[in-house]
Amino acid sequence: MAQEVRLVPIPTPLYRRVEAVLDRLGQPSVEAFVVFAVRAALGAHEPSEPLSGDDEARIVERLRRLGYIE
Amino acid sequence: MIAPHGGRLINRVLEGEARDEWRARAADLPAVPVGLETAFDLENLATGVFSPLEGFMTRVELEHVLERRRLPGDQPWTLPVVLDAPQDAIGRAEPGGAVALTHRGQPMAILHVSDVYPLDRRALASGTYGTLDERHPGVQRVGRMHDMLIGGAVDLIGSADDPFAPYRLTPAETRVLFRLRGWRTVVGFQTRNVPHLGHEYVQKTALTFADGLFINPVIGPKKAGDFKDEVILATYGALVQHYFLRDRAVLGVFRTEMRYAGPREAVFHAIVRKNFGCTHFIVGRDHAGVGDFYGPYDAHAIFEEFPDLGIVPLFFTAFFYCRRCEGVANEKTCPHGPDDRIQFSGTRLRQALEGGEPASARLIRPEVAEVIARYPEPLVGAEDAAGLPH
Repeated sequence: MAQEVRLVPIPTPLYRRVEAVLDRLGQPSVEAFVVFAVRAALGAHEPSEPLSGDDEARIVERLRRLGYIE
Repeated sequence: MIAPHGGRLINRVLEGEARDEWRARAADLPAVPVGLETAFDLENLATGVFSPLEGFMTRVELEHVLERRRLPGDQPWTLPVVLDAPQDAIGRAEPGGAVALTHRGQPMAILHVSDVYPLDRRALASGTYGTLDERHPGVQRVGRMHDMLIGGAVDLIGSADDPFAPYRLTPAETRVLFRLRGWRTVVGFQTRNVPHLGHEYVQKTALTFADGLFINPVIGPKKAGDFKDEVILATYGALVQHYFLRDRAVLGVFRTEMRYAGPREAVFHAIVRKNFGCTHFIVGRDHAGVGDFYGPYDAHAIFEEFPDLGIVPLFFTAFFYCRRCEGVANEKTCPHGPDDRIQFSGTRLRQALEGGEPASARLIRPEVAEVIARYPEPLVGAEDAAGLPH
């Protein structure tokens, strides 16, 4: 199954720096390392949606009923 | 609070008029009966335990997961969540239509059909378990599956019987609970065993730097020789009551079947705990393994593939009790030899119980041993093992 890709340019000196230490990065190619690095950077930035007030009130009531909160 | 996997906590539990309307319509829809394992999947999909999944995987989703260990949206995901059905039940299920998923004769969910496709047993087994060896319980399970799969989003309109309902919290509920307790960091602990001192040591080691501990036993079909669900829950109840601060530990169940998929299941377990609101997840030795199908620390190595997992894995090696240290230790902390060490292991504990030996106080807390002793048959018997071998 072929994966759709987009090309993103990176500076040639940066490409060469990655290439020079590829064996120590544990990645098979510069492209694989860039994908890994971007994913690592994105990992801490997932969006999140808050609960509605009604939902929260209902949940608090159930937690109280079950004894999880006083 | 940590974001759910994929950024949105899925909620596909229908309520009020919408539920009543679909319950009425379910009688006119093609019916696909589902067993207990699938009923658990339905609840987990609908309540966000499996976020960002909204239903059973389509062919494209499944191929991504098996080949790349990621969903089409690039989120890490390592185990298939699929629905197989017999050809006669599938007959009228067409993409764009809906079917009623029934459990024990009652409509439990509506499946909005996106895809109907043939099961590739080899791809499913090798891509999930890393083997085609028929001694692996997961490979055997794939062999018993029906020939066709149905993919699509689900809406929950009923529920499966739940003898442990007071211990079943949805991710929305645990997230509120953790916040109310003021926990910013929460360690998730996966277990399918009764607690021995090694487990407790790992939990408390993690708890020394986290705000809270979420003990989350897997409740569902297991293999012969595993402890029964009610015993696992009762023993953890005793442990939490006697050996944890009340405001530092929460006990809640995760209703699902064990896949015994080793490394892939370890990542899956971490994702589920992230959805519950955990920021860290304990990965032990041979996590979710069976027999010798996986190396003891394969489940640690696989996490290197997923820098974007969001939840932080905490890797623990095996612990033991050292007579000379007079405490729990591991290879990094204890200089003494094997003659001084008592190994912790669920298997050893089970064997001791099966042989009628009193459990050593160095292996298990007396309160936990007392709970186990109350059950004449604490272990899953071959007749109750849902086709899983010892």
